[in-house]
Amino acid sequence: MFRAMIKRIYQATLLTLCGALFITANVTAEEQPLADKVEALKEQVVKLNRDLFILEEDLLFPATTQVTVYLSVDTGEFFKLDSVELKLDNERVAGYLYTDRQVSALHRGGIQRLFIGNLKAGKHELTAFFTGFGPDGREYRRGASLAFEKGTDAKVLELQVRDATETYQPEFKVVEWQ
Amino acid sequence: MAIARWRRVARVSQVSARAALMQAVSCVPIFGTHFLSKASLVRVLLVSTCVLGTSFSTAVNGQASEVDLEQIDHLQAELGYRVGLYEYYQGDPLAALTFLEVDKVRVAERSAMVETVNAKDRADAHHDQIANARLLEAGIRLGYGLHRSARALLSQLVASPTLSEQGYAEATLYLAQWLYLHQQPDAALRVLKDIGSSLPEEQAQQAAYLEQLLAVKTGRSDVSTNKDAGPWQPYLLYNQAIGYAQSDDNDKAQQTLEQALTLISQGRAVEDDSWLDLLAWSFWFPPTPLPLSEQELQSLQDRVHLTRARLYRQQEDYPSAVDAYRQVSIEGMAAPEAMFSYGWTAFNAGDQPLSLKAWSALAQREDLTAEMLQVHLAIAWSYEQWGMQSQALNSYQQAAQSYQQILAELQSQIDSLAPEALMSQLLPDTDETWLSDQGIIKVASLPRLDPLMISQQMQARLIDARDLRLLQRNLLNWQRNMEQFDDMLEVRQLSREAQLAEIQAAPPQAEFDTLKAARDQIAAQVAQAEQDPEALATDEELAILKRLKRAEQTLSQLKEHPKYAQYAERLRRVRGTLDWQLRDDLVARQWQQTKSLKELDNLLRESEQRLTRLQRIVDTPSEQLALQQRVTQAQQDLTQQLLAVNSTYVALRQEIFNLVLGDLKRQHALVKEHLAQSQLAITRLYEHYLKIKQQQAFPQAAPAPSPATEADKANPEEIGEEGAS
Repeated sequence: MFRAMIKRIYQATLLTLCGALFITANVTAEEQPLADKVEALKEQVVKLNRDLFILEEDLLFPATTQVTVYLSVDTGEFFKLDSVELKLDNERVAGYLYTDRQVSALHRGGIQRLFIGNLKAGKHELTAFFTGFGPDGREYRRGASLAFEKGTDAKVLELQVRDATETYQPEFKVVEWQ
Repeated sequence: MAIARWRRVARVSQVSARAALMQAVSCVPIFGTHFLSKASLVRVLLVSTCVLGTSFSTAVNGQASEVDLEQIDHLQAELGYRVGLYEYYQGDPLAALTFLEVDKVRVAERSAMVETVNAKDRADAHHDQIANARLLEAGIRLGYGLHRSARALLSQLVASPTLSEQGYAEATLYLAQWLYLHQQPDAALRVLKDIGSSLPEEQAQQAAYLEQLLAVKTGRSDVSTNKDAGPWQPYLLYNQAIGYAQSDDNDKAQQTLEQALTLISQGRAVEDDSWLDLLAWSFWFPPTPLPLSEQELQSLQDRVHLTRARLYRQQEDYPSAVDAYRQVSIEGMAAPEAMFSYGWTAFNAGDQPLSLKAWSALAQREDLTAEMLQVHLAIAWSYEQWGMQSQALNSYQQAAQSYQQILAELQSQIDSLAPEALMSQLLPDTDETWLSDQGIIKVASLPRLDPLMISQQMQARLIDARDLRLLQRNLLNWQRNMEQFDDMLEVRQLSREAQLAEIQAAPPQAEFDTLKAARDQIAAQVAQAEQDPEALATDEELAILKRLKRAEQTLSQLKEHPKYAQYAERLRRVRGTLDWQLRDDLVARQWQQTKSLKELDNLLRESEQRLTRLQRIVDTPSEQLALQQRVTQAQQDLTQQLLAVNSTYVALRQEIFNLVLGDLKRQHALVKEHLAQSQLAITRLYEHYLKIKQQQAFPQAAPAPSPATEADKANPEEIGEEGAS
């Protein structure tokens, strides 16, 4: 399923690597350590970023109250996403206008972390409004909602925009993961 | 639905992936020749959507979908790397890798929490997705310059027993490419031998291309050279032709180069299905059409023509060589070299006007390297060779003048060079992220430095410099965040202390006890009402009851009264009415009381929870402290990391500066040499004229040697096509 995406990653990465080859071919022995140092620094920063990211979540969004909303989009033949508005318990918590690049990333299998926040334990309702262009270029505004119960574990929800091939119409869903 | 969706994603992505991957490999030189253009250095291809319209409709569909357990597992297994993928496609590999790393931690946490065997089985069922995620991670790591960890990941994947057959083949291919790009062709060939036959067509073509390329590079004859390399066949043919030429098989080399040219022209004419595929691809990805863009096709074609011309010249077939040079694009990067060699070939063929025409046209160009600047000398030398002394002298003087001017410019450029200013010029500090605008690094064009700027060693350093800048920005952002977190924790601590003080001042247990007493009272009333409805009487009814009891007592003392029976009857009726009313309202009152009881129970529960929370606040002071310690530690780590990044950036900046300075000095020395040669030639020609004058003045003196003979002695070794090196 993700073979194509992986191949796509290699397309860009190996182009860079191609450049790296010439480093090994052309640089002197004295210059090499600096390239190594940059690589080591990048590795360290990735690890540090990971730790900081987790620390940030622990600080701001502890699991007991955390709710995260992701957005995924199908191939988008019947719908071109323009914006999303998110409401939790009738209160607007997020809004997003998409660039072509972001829409493209979603079409190519990426998932966007649209919202992360805190909610009390109990019953809640998530409502999402999608704006864009549907079949035949008509402007579309659709909504989807989900009533859910927030417990003591982190809550993960996904907004899905899919092409319904049976009806030739876009389909909007909210899926509860955990 | 999901399958249909991914099929589509895969279809769109496959073509571009194949294209760029092969483009990357094809750019690698095998015999010191490469044709990597600026535009192709780092590139990310994007899908562009094109749905437009104007009408409006509104509808709200309030549906929640239900997914089964298996699908949830599936989604969870994908989540981490699909979020990473989104970040990667936004041009931020650092964020993508961060998400992938965070996902690993989260997955480990989840696994630790999984208790049932069934759940573990479900988790194990997704090892293929985990392998995909690792393959993806290896790719992103490569792109981000983390070669060692990428290699380690690919090796792990190849050794993994749980990897699917196709996954294994793909990991093997990428590992082979890694080895090839890191100059380990023999190891790459060994890895490729084990690749199997489960690769999809595009990747099978990549593997075929790589294998045959490696066979040429290593001189192995046991590898089949007839496998289809798909759209990359022209590159393969070119490299094979170079191999034949090196082994002195010029005929076969020419034949192979002709094949490459045919394929290139076919590619342009779209005569082949595979190229049609690529054309479709260009429709979907307009920013970077075709794996071999027109620019690269042209570059490859120019290289093919240049190589053909060289081979013809080796065989002294000057007309064919001239014809081959003529095919090189005047706009391309190979044009100066082609024009210079074209001039020499014409000169060798005895066509001086043609050589002068080519060199004069070349001399007019403003993009000449220091090597190509010797064309001024070549023009003058050509005149001299053909006995046109005055034109030769004039040309030498013009050349000397040009060289002096260029030397002055170079000196001024060297004098004004400074590391910081140079970096600001080369990489203007903008808000662009990684790989923005199709991943091309925008490098400012500096006079006379274009060849250096497009060299691999410089490009690699510029990528590193750009990455270090982004790391600096990332670390500074975190530093700001940590300061805010620090403040936030301080506020939380103060708030907690205030809460504790409040709790101590007014213990919440007292409020709870009052509520509980009220609740118990109502409960007792409800229980009593079953036996005695008066327990739920209203205040008014209670007042009447009281009066009734008093009247009954009074009446019991008046039994002798003549109206006793009348009063007793009235009293009995009132009592009966009241009892009837109490019993009639009992159900409603019981319901009302039960409702109140439930409300009180709810309040009590909330109070209890609040009490528990408060107790937790009181009992767990260490959580805040632990977070505080983590923030403090993070601040220290950030400071250290930032220092390391800054110092490395300064070192890299100095290295780039040294490269630029070295190149400018090298050019300065070379042009100085050209100037010396032209000045020497001018002196020589003046001496010649002086001798002629002397001869005319004193006819008995010995005849002077011919200038052409002297020039032959002085110049051919110094001024020539080979002198360019």
